[in-house]
Amino acid sequence: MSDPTIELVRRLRPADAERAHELFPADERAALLARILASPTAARHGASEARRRAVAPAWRQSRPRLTPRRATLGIAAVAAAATVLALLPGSAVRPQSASAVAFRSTPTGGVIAIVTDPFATQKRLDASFAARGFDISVRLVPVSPSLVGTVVAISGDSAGIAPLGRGRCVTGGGACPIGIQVARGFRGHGSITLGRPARRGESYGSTASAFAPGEALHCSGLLGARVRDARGPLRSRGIAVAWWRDANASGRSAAAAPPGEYVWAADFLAPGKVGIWTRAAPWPGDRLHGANANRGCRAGRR
Amino acid sequence: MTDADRRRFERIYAEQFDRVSAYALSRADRQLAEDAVARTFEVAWRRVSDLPAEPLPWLLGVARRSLSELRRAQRRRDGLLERIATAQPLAFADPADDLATRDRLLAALNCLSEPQLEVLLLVAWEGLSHREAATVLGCSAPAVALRLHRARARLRNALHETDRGRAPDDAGGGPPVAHESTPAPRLAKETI
Repeated sequence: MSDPTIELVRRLRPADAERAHELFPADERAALLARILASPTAARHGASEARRRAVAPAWRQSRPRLTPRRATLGIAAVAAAATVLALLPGSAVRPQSASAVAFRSTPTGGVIAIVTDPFATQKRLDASFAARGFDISVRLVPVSPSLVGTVVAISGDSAGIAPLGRGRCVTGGGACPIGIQVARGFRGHGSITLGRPARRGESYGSTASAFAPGEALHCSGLLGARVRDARGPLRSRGIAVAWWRDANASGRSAAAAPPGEYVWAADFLAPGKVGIWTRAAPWPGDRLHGANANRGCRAGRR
Repeated sequence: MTDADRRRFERIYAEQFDRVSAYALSRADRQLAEDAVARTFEVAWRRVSDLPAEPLPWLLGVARRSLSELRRAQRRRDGLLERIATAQPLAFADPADDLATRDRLLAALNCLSEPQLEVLLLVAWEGLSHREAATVLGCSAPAVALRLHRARARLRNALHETDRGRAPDDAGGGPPVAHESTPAPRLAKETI
């Protein structure tokens, strides 16, 4: 490194490379490690090079800013891990282990617990944590896709437990890992409620905007559309409208809405079942009214 | 896959994660870097029994190929020089000299071929030896040494030209980012 040209070039190195340890936080790298270790190896499964290349990075599953195309890649990545594949709604693959939770130690001495059966009974979940020596109660409630794996409620000694990837995973397919990271040496009591995928026909216990990244109407172009223009696309997507409500809070709730009104907001009540708020005034398109749901959409789509 | 393999992988992951991340971040934006880092360690886990005793060059080689594949998959054309030109550099010793020095350096680096730039950065940024850089690039150590020698010579020459107030070689006053034309005629026959 004594060569002056080498030293000069060294100074051009992007500064963020020097801060790699800050840009990839410990919990995210621990979650990535857990997913990698849960994935099949060539030695066990004979994965071909072509298949290996087709598998998108598992890391992407923990990131919050996925576009729909990336979401598809993220789901493909999860498919590489049999245990995580069990999280997909309707999947034919079931966990081979009797335990509903897979535990991994992290390099920093903590423990990552990934729920391998999101439809396990509470008794099985509790037994899995107890068998590991934890007094932790993880409860699962059905949520809309973008909220799978996120925290719905937390109580007790919550400082020692946290959702994986800070609970920000968004895939649109309900394929986010459901789990927690337990701090090194944690011996307290904790209770945390996490979102899990909903079964067909099951009502959501918590839901995000139907237009949010990861939800079925993200980038659909229907936010701000007139009611008459929204009906066809909703039908073609197999989405039933449970009710239309006046967003001016006049109390109207009906099976129909004035066709000239505009869509201001929507929430899924269950998979394929949405409730929509409308107003006579055009949707203003500002952040206060959900414009940030357009993140990642092509210009003109929302 | 044995427990020993798992423990070894976890140790390598803990020890090398920052180095691999820094490598990827110095060559791509964060989003692409994240994907490349994840892919690199996924490959490492699948081939844990093949990992050499000193795994860093092997890992950087996988990261390099991953970045290339991901760029192709995303139809992205941003190269090394674009990354350098758009990133916030490490602080220079004399802040007043920052912009002028940086522009001068970028213009000079623009005279290098992509392979020359690659080997120069492996040594200057990652601190690799010739042998380690050879592992990353998939060539021999002597080839790395020769390529590095030529890169340094061309860089010195380009810097000298700019110091004399002329555009380096045939850059023609173009923007200080990567170009697709053939590098300086004087060294155009260079194959390494």
